Amino acid sequence: MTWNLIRWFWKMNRNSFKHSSDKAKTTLIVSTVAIGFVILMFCGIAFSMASTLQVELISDILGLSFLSLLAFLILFAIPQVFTKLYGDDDLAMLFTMPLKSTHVYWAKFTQIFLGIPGAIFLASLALLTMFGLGANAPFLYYPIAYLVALSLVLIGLGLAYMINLLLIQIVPSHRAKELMTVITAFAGVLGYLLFQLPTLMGRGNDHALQQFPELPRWLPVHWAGESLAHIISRSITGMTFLLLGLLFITTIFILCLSSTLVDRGFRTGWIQMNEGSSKKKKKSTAISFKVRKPVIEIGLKEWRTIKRDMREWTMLIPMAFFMFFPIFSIMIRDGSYEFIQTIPALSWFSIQAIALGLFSFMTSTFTSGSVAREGTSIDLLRVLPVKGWTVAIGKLWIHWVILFGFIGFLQIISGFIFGWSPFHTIAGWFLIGMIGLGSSAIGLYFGAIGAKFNPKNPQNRLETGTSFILLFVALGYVLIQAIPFALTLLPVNDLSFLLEETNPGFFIGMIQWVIEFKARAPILISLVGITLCFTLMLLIAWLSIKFCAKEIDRGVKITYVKE
Amino acid sequence: MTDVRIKLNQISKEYGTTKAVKPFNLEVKKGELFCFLGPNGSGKTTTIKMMTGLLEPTDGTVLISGINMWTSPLEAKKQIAYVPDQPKLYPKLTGQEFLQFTASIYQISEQEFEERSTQYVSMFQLDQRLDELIETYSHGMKQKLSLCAALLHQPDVLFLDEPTVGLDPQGAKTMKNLLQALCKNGMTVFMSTHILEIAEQMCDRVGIIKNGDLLTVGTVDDLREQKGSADSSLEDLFLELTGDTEAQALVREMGDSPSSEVKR
Repeated sequence: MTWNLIRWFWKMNRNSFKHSSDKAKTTLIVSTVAIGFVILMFCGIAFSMASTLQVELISDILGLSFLSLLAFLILFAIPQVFTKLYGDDDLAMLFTMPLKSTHVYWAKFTQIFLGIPGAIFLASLALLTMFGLGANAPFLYYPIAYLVALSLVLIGLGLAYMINLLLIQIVPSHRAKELMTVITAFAGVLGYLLFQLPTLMGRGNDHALQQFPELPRWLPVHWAGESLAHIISRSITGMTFLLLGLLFITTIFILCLSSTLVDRGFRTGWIQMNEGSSKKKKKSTAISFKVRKPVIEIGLKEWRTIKRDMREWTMLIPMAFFMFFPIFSIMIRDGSYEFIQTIPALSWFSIQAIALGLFSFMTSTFTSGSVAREGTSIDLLRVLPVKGWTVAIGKLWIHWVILFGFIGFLQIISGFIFGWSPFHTIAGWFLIGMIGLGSSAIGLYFGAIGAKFNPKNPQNRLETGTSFILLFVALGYVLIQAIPFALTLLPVNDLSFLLEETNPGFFIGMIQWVIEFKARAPILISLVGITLCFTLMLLIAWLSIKFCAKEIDRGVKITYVKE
Repeated sequence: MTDVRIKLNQISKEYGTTKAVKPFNLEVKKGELFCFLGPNGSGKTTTIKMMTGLLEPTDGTVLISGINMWTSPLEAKKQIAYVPDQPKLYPKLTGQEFLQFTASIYQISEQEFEERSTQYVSMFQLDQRLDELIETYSHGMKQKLSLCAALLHQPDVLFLDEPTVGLDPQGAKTMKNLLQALCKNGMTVFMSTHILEIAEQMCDRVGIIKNGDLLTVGTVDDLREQKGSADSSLEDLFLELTGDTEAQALVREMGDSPSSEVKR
């Protein structure tokens, strides 16, 4: 029965490719060719690395490579598995048929395996082959290496299934439809932590000083690396077979475990996802009703939508990641944290510069989604007696306030970690917040001219072309603002040691110039800087809102992505 | 103050070479309940969208209580309310919050909001579900909520596109009674429907549109007179005006056929 289902799935995929648009086919072919080139490049690297690598490092490098493979796999497979398990349209039909859940599960498992995990598997085969050729490995290496790669892909896929089966059980039913986005974010964090695992495990011991950090011995990827290293170096022992045996047994165990969990998790999870009754009553607001200004009411309407849909918050995840990952990396590396704490001005200015770029990029992206968020309800606003200007301001203020609060939260945490003064923490927050108002307004305008609505992927709310243009415009705005920003915030007294650098690069050279310039009249130049920032922000915000209001009055056209 | 609440002057809509609505004139007076009838794709919704400011007419003008919808849209929109056939409300707001949102946009006083929302919400039996998110509502409930919100600011003109679709019998009955009462108090209702029985029972006048052509406008009695068939139902008249010859013959044949009777 499972085989029958797999055949039907295969036919469906084939038909869907046959009947897809030429554009989609071209995109697929071009992407495949591009990925092929990247793999080819990595094959070359694997070959040359293997031919020069010391024998004792083979185990470490293979283990780390397998860890990366597992991380990539989990990163891509968790969201994909979730869609297949709970989101596919055919499940309603399959569950009404006399089929065991396990059959459907294995068919879906195979279907996913033939997607991205299959591609990762094929890529790993090519890389392992080139590595073997480079290291002049014996013939036995190749079949064993392929089996090891298959085992690891199956382990990754099995883990992805189990994580999904578990998550759907613990998430409240009315939140289940938003889970996909959360799982994507979760997969991102998990993938990142897997990449950081060697650093974390190696902290505080001598391995941190080695060329490659050593993996914990209990990890299956270590067994895989170690056993293949034995084969390559032609020193096969009982340990080699033990490690391989452990790897294959773990694979079978994970697959069996995920399969036995299916009856419990798959169908009930799907029911939970599709019933998703949200009869939970909100606190009655009848008593608190006040007639508010339309601009406030429109903002509040946006806020209610954002706070009740966790998918909306995922737009902020990249920002949190990019803010925290460098900090996290500094904190887990021996000595880095202690060093950076000795010069708060350096950490402060560096974080402000990162935050300015990220905040401006994120505010523009976050606010740009507000127009398409209306989705099919867009007509509702158009029949109401409100000006485009009111709608634009209503949407702008709430998005800006949310992000202003968010960046404040991040600044305060960073302030505590790096020991900044309250004045510096607040000054950075306010100046970045103010500049962000301009980029928010830019985002709003682009949101009005390139709105796209996809019910299945609600956080993707801009046409691809428009989102690229927005990226460049927002970047241009930040680059222009960076000059008055640096003039205002650069703490010249604390950073005067940078002037001692006799061979500065472009960036340090620029900072040296600003320090020298500002040192002549610090207060005056700070005031000039802040005035320039403010004027530029007001001008850009005013222009963007004006153009956006015109678009809204004219009638925003939203491109609806077909489900 | 004019008695004409809706005035359409040679209004038309074209998409490329396709004429979705061909030029026509129409006047609907204060307190009148006007039904707009026509087969699927005949141009009913397009016409309503032009009247409510959602679609710009290719030609012609729309006046609501004497205000041009396309030159003074804000003033014109203050006079109207629109309930579409598929109400697309904000799914993440509760029913109560949606009513409050609408009330704030129209700047209704707190007291008026309290009185009117209580009245309409209890009339449509929504009071028990008002604190739930709209995304959990059925189509009929969304329709009722949309109607409640539309009536909050007591518009001069109420546009309804297929209002009875999705309503339960009790909801439909309540709506019919409410609309008649509102019209008695001077509100103008412009409604499109497929249910000819409703049109026959409720409407002061009907307009029949087909392929973008407004074929006729008048009371049901006027139409009977025009066709010279005093006993005809609105359904017969409608089919005669809108159906092609073959379709009409088929419908008649089915009506005459003994097999179409209920077998007991």
